[in-house]
Amino acid sequence: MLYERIKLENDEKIIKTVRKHWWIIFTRVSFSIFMMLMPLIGYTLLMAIAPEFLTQKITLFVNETYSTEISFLYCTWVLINWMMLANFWTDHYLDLWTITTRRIVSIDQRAYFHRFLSSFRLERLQDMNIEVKGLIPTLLNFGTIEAQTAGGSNEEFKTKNMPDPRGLKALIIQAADDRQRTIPTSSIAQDGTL
Amino acid sequence: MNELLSGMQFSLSDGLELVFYVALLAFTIHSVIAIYHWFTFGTERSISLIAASIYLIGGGLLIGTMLMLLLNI
Repeated sequence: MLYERIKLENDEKIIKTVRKHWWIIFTRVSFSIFMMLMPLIGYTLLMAIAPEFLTQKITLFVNETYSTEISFLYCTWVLINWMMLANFWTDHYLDLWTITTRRIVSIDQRAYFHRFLSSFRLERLQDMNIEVKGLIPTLLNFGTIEAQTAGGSNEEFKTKNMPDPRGLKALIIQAADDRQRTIPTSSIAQDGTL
Repeated sequence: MNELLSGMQFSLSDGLELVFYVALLAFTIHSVIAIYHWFTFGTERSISLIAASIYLIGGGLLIGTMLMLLLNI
């Protein structure tokens, strides 16, 4: 599993694992279910709104002559959407931030066999920004969280749709403060970097 | 030539049978890849197990229904 692969250091403990907000997977699952039902909804709507469009011949074709074939193709359509649903679940389940007592590990599952894993140590944390934009993110309390780190590179850790960004920011800053307190002062250079 | 071509003609049921085998192959490959990722990079074995079970049962039911329909064509 994942934690065996991250290889935690001695005394390093996981404080929190955060995935994207449930609203994101909810909308994707709803979309998949809608797509599964779309042929049925479309046919029903067509019958209700424009019954004259469906001539007797077409109705006979769909309901009797080729009903088995059409049911077979509909099952194929549902299967395709079922696999798409699994892709959405994979994206939700494997995209995460792991906050430990020493570092933050950000994992972005971009596709199958395509993962982007980045981490930074808490003592390198320089600044954290959050952005909550829009009606639904405000009501459900999720948004973008961005961590800027000190060091040679201008690495930025930015993830959208994280739940409770203010709480997460407070948790990370608290963890960074705790980490700073445990580092021996002799190991910190005059400019504040390690 | 005409005899050869007429022998190669596909009926609707042949086409649907081909669709079935392609769907079965795609679902099998997709299942192996997805479940490999859930168990290798997931955080909790129990969640991965539940997800894999739901996915395989749902997909299996669909494949089974497709097979039953194909046999009735």
